[in-house]
Amino acid sequence: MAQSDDNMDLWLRALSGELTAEERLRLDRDDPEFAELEELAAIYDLARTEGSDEPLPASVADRIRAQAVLPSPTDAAAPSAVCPIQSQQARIPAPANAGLAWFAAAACLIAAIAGWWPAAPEPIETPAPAPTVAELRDQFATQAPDLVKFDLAGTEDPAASDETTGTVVWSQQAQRGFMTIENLSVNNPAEAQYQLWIFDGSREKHPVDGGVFDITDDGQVIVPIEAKLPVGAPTLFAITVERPGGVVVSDQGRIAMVGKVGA
Amino acid sequence: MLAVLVGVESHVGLAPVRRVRNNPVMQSTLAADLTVLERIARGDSTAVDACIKTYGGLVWSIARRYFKRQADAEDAVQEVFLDLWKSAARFDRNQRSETVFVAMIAKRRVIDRFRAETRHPAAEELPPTGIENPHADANPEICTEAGQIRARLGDLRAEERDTLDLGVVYGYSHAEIAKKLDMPLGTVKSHMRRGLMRLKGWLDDEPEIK
Repeated sequence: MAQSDDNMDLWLRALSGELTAEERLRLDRDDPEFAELEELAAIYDLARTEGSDEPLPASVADRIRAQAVLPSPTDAAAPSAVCPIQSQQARIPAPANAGLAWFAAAACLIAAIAGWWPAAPEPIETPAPAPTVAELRDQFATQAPDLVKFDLAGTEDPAASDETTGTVVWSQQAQRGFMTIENLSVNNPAEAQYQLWIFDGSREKHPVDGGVFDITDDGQVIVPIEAKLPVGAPTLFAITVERPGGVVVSDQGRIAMVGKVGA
Repeated sequence: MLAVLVGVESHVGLAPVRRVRNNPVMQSTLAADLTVLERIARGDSTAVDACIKTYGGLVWSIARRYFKRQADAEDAVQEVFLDLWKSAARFDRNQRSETVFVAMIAKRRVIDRFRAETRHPAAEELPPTGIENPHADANPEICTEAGQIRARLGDLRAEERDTLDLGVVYGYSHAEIAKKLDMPLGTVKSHMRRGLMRLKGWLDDEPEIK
């Protein structure tokens, strides 16, 4: 059992990427069962994030396309697979089936040639430009069936001022939303970043992490909200100032903006 | 398989269960039926666009959950696709769905790269997630296993779901999860273990663990 616990611990740490390169190599080499767990984790990830994928930026797609080096066709399985393998018995000529056999052989030959013949290049579609954050927010606001909207206000924190305002649109069903913030101080990401916290009436302990973001403009900035955990009953949204990268749990030493849901 | 994961709950089946696709259509190897990765493995350069179109959004979304800077996410995505071209020949449709195969490679590459930079996830500088699922349009039967899990997410205990979300989806370390959820480290691991065990039972259609 001790060995089992060790394995389990190793597997869980591997899922979070906490293994050293050596440990990981050993796991991949010696423990085929880990692939099953890795698969399960991938399926869970897909289940939790389904419907929230955003399009790959066109410029990145172009780079990937330009750098693509595929295996040589000669390395791959020959296109014999396009014809079912005949049993030895089936290959014995039989007068009654001779015509059929020739037809099958001809069909296989044509299919094989078709498989080897270089395919005509597919027309390259010009990808549509990715929507802006403002467009996505507006689309979200019109499509979310249970949208709630409320204001954020600046606090006494030096990052805020009398002119600092904000609005939140949030869908409980989608567990997503957007903040539109105006006149919050521009931050230097190397020194500090803003982090959103969603206070959840259904959770007794810490508020839910709503993501780290930067204010890059003196005017209006739109920030998508991505709650890291399901939010049961949102009561208050608060923006804190944290160290770069954000924190796991905030001491709420600097709260720059707050907004009460339903206010 | 996952005998250790199942641990003392020995009433849960321990036998390896593969979600093998027995659909005769899926087993056909006619060229027209080849999946994107199978075409890649055969050196079909016209499959590159199809692969990017089908899985670009998935890979990008995984990367952006970990990397705050767009440039970092872009580098990670390029690395994932380089790995996909090399690994395509290892894809076996009888073992797992193509989407899961791509997600496994993407997560592994992104997490390795992310941990090498020793930062914890943060990702809100980038544009937000879309409302629609682009790869669902490309292939409506994209991942039945994920659908199975999704249909029963509400049956997971809250602690199991929270620890799996933070650890598996967002890549927080166990220590970070313990701090975030105000739980002892051992409890975090127990919840993750039980949550994964429950998911496995659902996929294998085994009796529910109480």
